[in-house]
This record gives sequence, C-alpha cells and structure tokens, in this order.
Amino acid sequence: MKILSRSEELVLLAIWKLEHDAYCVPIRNRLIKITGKNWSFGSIYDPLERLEKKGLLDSFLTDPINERGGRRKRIYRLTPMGRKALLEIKSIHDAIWADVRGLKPETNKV
Amino acid sequence: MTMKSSNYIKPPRIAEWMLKSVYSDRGEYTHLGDFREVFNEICQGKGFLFAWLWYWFQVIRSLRGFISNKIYWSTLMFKNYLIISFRNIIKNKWFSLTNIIGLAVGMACFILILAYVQFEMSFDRFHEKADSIHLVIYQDSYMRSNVKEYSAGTPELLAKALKDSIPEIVNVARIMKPWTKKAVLQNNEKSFYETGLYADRNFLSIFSFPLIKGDRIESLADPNSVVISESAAKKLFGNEDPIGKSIEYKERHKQYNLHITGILKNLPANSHLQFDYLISVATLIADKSNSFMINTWDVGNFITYVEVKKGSKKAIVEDKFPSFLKKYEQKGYQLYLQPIKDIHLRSHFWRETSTNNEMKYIYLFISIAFVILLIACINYMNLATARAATRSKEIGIRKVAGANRTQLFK
Repeated sequence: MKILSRSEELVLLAIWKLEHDAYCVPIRNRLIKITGKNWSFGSIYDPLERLEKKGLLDSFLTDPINERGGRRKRIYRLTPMGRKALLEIKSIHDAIWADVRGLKPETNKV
Repeated sequence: MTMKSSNYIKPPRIAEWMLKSVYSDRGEYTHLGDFREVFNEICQGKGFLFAWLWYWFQVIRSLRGFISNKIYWSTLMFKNYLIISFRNIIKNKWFSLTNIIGLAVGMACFILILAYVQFEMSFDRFHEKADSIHLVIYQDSYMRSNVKEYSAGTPELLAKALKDSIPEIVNVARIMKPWTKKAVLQNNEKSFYETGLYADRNFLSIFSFPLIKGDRIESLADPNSVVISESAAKKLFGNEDPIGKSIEYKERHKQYNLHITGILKNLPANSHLQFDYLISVATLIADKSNSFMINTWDVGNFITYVEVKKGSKKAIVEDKFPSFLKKYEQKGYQLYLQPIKDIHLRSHFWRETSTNNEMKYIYLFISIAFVILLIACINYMNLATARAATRSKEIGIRKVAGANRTQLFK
C-alpha cells in the first residue's frame, strides 16, 4: 500500500481523536487549531474522499439537522485498514527521526 | 423536524445555490450543511457582514476550479468527437458522401428557395410611404360578354380631379409608358437603347427612389426635362457631370431634345417600376401631337398613383369614388385602389407596368422548400440510424469513459 500523504495523515489522526463526532467542520477546526494555518473546505474534502475510496475511512449519514439548513452530517470513522495505515506511518516517522541529531527549534530560528 | 429554523441566519440564497451545483456530493449535499454551520459560527463571532463576505469568497473560489474543470473536460471530449467523426467519414467514404451531400443539397435548396421567396415578398416595401401609396385601377364592363376587366390605364384628367375632390388623397402622380418599349437616348455619337417612363413632377415626392443629384420636385416640373439613372449617365457621359447637359430622345414617332435635371441611383430589383430615365409629363403635354389624350376623360393612357392621407383606410377612399364619378359625369366604369405592396404578387390586369408574380406560386415555392427539407432530413436520419448498429461498440466505449446521455447524441 502507498504511504499516506501528509494531509491524509493529519485528517486521519484528527478523525481518530474526535471519535464520535468526526464530520467536516470539527475536523477542520481541529486542524486549524493544531497547525495554526487556515484550511479551506476543499483541502479537507479532497483527502476525505480519497481516504474513503482507498478504504481507510468509512462514513454514514446522520438525520437531517435544522441548524444546517436541513442537511445531514456525514460522519467518518476509521476502518481497521485506516488504523493500520496510521500505525505504519508512525513507525516510518519514528524510523526517520530516530537518528537525526542537532535539529532543534532554536537552531532553526537563527 | 418541527423546530423553527428562523433562529439561524441563512447564508445568501444565490451563493448557496451556486455552491450546490459545485459540490454535488453524491446528491446528499452534506457539504452545504457544513458551510452553513461555519457561516453561523462566523456570524456569531464576527458579525453577519463578515460571514456573508466569507461565504461569497468560498463560492467564488470553488467556482474557479469548477469552471476550468468543466471547460477542460468538455474541450477534451469535443476533440475526441471531432477525431472520431472524421475517422468515421474516412472509413465509410461513399456512405458519408451520399449522406452529407444529400443533407447539404437539401438544405441549400431550402435556403435558396426561401431567399427567392423573401425577395418576391419584399417588392415595393422600400418606399417610405409604401403603406399609403395606391394605384388607381379602372374597371370597365364589356357590353357583349358582361365580363369585368380591370385596367391600370386612366385618363389624364383623373389625377387632378381626384386630388381636388377627395380630401383623403394628399398627393397624386401620373406616369405613362412610352409608345415603344425601348427608346434611344443619344449624346452626340453615343446612343443607347433604354427603357423608361414619363413621370409627373410629384412622382419623386411620392415614391422614394433615391436621387443622387437634382431636386425631388423641380427636376420633373418643366417640359423637356429628364432624370436619368446612374448607369445610363455613366454610359452616355462617362465621368462627366451630366446635369444641365442635353440629350436626344427618340421613339418611333416622337423625338425630343431633353435637358438632364437629375440623376437617380440605380433602382433596386424589388420594385415593380423599372426605368432608366424619367421624362417629365409636361413634355407630353407641351407636344401638340399628343393633344388627343390630354385634357380629356376619354383616353386612358396614364397610370395614376395616389398617396392617401396617413391612417385613412383604402375602403373609405373607395367609398367616395361613385359620387366622385357622378360629379364628373363619368359612366360605365368604376375605380378602385390597389396598395402598391400588393402590386407584385396580388394583381393581374391590363396595362401594368411590369410582369408580375402571383401569390399562389409563392405558396407553392414555400411548400416545395419545406418538403425538400423534410425529405433531406428523413434521408439523413434513415442513413444515420442504419449505421447506428455498427457504431454501438463506440457508444459502449463512450459510456464506459463516462460520457453522459446528452453527449452520446453528438
């Protein structure tokens, strides 16, 4: 299987953390909060769709909600494959970062 | 959902509709809900205006990608269709040839016939006063057979009498055809056969034949004055200015020396009057040998046109004719008016100034045109459906490639 892209990884993690209420709006809010950058809706929808197609996510619809103009929410959950992919990318990260030395925020700032 | 939605501020309707078409989202439109939720969030935080701006900004941003995407794919598909149709033509040369030529010839016929019909229908419409100019028709009853005959020939006195006694008639003009069909116009050694008319001084103020030089009224006022067409002037005088020059005019029994007082632009083909020169009627009257037809009610050599007051109906004027004729002690005939728009297609009588067409032929032509078009279309359809079976594979592939229903027909 292909390695996850960075945005896919971030989205997957956000969904994992959000547990039951993982639909687009909180996912986006969470990502904005964590990264400190503005995420457009498009940059969330795209990875969500891709991940669902790959089988790492699955989704279901809630009842129509009035505050949303009578629209439903599409709530996402990780599939076992999604969890596996997250673990895989974590191990890759750990492996890559394992013997990196001398890279510290202070040195970056200069 | 019974709860009222008015607690929540709605985003602009148009913007929402646009978003809806951009994000189809499997027909569920959950995205719209997401946008609305954030919209409300911003509304509560930073105010309505900010939220409104934000929403529109989102729409515009999504539209850009949406539109460029659409254009990209449709041009791609169009290119593909072009290639395929070209290949198909090459593959079935004879078949395509008959098919395309059949349709093309059918359509060409249709267009040509319609162009002809349109030309025929446009006769005499170019005059400014086309609606109010009428031809006076004369109807005589033959004693022997009791057949009624119509004629355009009217006596010399009629025009003035009509203008004097019927207030609805604001202007009159007489014309007369020369004795011979063609007459000679001569300038020194140069001489040409031309066709033309004798015309009253009012002639050019009623009809709007365009005049290049000369006065609309005065140019035909005096005896021995003539107005010639642009092409006749070119033939007779080359590039010289012909105004004021004199030419010799010869018919079989008449000969005049005429002064050129005006130049007409060449006539449009859709006029029932066709002429290359206009000689003033005053010339005729001044000629003593014509006295048998001047100042009389008995000889009907002139053709009389009347301009009816704008807005008054032809029937109202015609109603006044019987008492008019009684006043001038005329018996044995009746007068009618004919609108000049009808002359070309709906008239048929003696002493007309031109050979005319008939309305029934126009209808015939129109129906033939449509039948030809219909046959060409049926033929094309027939051949195309016959071939559709062999192209079913292509359609299958196209469907697989994701073409939608409307694209398949192309």
